Amino acid sequence: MSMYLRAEGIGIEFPVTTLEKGHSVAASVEQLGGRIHLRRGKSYVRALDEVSLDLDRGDRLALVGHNGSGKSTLLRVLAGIYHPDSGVVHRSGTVSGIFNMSLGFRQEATGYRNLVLKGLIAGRTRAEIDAALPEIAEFTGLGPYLDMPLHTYSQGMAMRLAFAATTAFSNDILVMDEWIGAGDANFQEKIIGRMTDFLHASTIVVLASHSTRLLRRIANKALWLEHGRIRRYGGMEVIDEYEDEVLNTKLPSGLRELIAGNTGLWLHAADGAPAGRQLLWNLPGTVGDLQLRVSSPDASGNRIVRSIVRRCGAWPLAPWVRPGMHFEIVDLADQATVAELVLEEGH
Amino acid sequence: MGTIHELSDDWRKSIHMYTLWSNLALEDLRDRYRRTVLGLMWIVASFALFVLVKVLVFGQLTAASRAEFGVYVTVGFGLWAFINSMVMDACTAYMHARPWILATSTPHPVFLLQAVFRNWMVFAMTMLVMALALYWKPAPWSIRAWSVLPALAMLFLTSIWLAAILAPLCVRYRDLHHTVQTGMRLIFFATPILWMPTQRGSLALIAKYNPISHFIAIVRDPLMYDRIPMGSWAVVLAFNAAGMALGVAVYAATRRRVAHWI
Repeated sequence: MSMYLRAEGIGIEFPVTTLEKGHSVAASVEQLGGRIHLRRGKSYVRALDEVSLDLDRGDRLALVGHNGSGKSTLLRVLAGIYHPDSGVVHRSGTVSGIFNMSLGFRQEATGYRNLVLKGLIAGRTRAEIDAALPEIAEFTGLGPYLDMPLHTYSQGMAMRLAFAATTAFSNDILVMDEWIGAGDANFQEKIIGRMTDFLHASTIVVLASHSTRLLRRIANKALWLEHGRIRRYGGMEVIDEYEDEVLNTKLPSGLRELIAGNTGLWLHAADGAPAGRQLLWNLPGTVGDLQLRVSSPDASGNRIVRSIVRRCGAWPLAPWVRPGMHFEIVDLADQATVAELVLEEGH
Repeated sequence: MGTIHELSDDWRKSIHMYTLWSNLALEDLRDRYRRTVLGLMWIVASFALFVLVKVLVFGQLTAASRAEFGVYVTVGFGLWAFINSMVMDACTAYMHARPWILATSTPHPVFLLQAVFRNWMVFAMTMLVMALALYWKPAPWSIRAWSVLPALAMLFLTSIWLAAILAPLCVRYRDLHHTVQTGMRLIFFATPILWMPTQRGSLALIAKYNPISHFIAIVRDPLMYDRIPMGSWAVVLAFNAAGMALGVAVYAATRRRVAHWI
């Protein structure tokens, strides 16, 4: 059976009732969310405008965009929760939406009872649920607690139950919104393991997240939304472009041009520049989390200067910096040095 | 027409998901009486006590015999309690399902059927008390008592369209919920439960223009007095026909918008 998820020219608008005419809020909202327009004296925000996409078996689409760019709305349209004003969505089967893993949990019911209810809402029959229960129970690691009411659980335990139930009862096409959450380190490992299985099993995935690192691990396609419209749609290079823009808008202008004009890790000894002497870096092509570290010749070991840095950035030299110090940027995933620099005498 | 097709599709799917809504309704009730000794029997116990006190107090004010008034109040109040709670739950059916509606594509009638089923479960338990009270009924049993079955079927149909109309409208217009709540409290006094329409001409008039008294009469009259109130049946049938049509219209008009309003 062929599997697909297609959207053609999706448009959706919400009436905005709280905005008064001539109120200054309208202008500031515009920069973040969808476009606001007036029709017959009423304000509408155009949350999605002419959004189309076409996904087939095995596609994992990453959704990126600023807050309010329409990511969650698009996910809800794809899942059949919101009905678009224009355009159509074609799905080969039921789309599971994962927006809130603790959805529908009843505090007074036992863990087992909650698992059954989760299964029922996902459209499973009692027989299917009963068959799946032992495996889910084992995955949660909650043991005897499953026979106790949910309100006796700690937050982490409730999270385990929620994740187990959600992944166990999902369909082949699923949409997810910022879903990697709490849980202890041990459980995080289990989550990542389960997630990989889970994503193999479910053949079309649309995932919205602000973590480009997570998106890079999972996705093979990317869609960049801006003000409810498609800014870019394509392969993983879209995420790079998005990230570049996010990084650029975060850096003060002046510095931005300085960084873009060079690659690697270098010292910028600006005369008269407001920020003084700075360490700059621009490392195109690197993915994952980076860390800026320093080691000095007269002391052993590394010191972390910035625990997480972006692909391009700047660090104003601190007063303790001495000549001979060795700076390096390390990729945290494999601990490999991406760029390094030794401060010379005379600096 | 597309909308009608979508509508019947929603309801067909929802009815098919009976395990879901019956379990959700059961869980609602269990939540209410969790960790109590009596559990669901609280429904029966509180209803029986409530009716007993009502009969003892208001029985002083009526000319009817203690036995007749007792049956009259028990059956009437049992029906009223169901109708009142059904109307109120119809208002909140979508509001209570807000997290579901925003996170799953579960067809919305599931939440309406959940509310309807929950109320019928409670009603079934109060019916135990009502059936017991019929031991003291004034008129003998006859074949006409069977008309209570189609009467209950009418009430069932009513609960469905009530939910289909009130649930989306209460989500859209939040004042409606409070309006209905206040209205039901007032209508209680205008419904022949604690008083009998035969007492006075003006009371008979109030009962005649209150539709709820007809919904009660089609069940109470054949059971108590061995008569089928044809006038009341006509009113109920007319209300159901109009209610069904309105229910279909409201559901069709709102089904795509409920997720935005909620």
